[in-house]
Amino acid sequence: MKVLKTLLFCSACGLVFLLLAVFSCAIRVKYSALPKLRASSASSYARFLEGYSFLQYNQAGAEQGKTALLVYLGELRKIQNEKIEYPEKSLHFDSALTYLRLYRLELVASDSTKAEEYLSLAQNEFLMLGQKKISTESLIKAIEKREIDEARIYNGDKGVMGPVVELKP
Amino acid sequence: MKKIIALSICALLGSVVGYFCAPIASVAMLQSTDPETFYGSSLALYKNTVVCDCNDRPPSESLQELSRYLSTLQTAKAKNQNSKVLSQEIGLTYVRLSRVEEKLNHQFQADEDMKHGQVELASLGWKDVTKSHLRSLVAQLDSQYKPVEHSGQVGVTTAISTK
Repeated sequence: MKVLKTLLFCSACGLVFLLLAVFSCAIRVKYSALPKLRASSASSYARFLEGYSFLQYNQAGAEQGKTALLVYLGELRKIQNEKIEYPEKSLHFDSALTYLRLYRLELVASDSTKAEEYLSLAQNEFLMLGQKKISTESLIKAIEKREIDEARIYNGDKGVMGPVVELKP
Repeated sequence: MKKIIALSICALLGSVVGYFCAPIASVAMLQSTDPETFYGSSLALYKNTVVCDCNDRPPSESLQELSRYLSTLQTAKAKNQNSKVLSQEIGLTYVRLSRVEEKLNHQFQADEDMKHGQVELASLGWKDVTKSHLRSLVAQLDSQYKPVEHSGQVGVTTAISTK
């Protein structure tokens, strides 16, 4: 009888240990560890995709560039939709820049409706940053200038490549 | 009284063990619920350590690191054959390897690596895959490579022009 009592008590101790372990683990996972891990993973992966999409946009053809930018945009949207911790300003800025690049590619593809749509989405992202409404002309000038700079940096003396070269001013 | 103390100690130990197991459980959860982000970020962190430190390492060490990184990429590519992200990374790693091989005066291997890189990047639709262009592009990319950071920089149109 004494042995049975001891066994029962040990089982109770084991159960209490396990229950509390599961409980404290679940609480920390839900409110701290997982959100932090998700945030840092999403951030690393987004930066990785940013580099990939930029190089495809800058070095490959319009179609390949568009596909890569949409992959990157998908990741940024996922971060936004799933409310993953991410610096809000970076998120809106990167989204806006990606929309502007897509705008440039749609111009090359002569799809002016889609191009306008992307331009307006870029404008919205800047509005979400708390900026005053920026005119479409300013955005167009800014992205053109940026593309020329990027072409100079990443394509050396050959000058402008990528979608810009195909655009008639 | 003794029993209550024993149960309390078990409860306390359980809480402590659970608390310290949480990070491992989080990794397992992320891996199962969002494998793309998990493996993508792991690869990004790996790249960060390989490429970031490349410039300061002796070429022989860089060669080893890059070869290991390439082998990881190729293993991942075998499982995701349609991944363009991995193809681009493989192509660029071949170019990086080629630069290091040249530094070590392994000209034949450098040429071989460059050819592999050119084939991989051409398959992604890259317009210019000449040796000189790829070498200068990778040099440019590596010179700017920084660990993941979030400065949260914004600044409207000026930022678009200068970021």
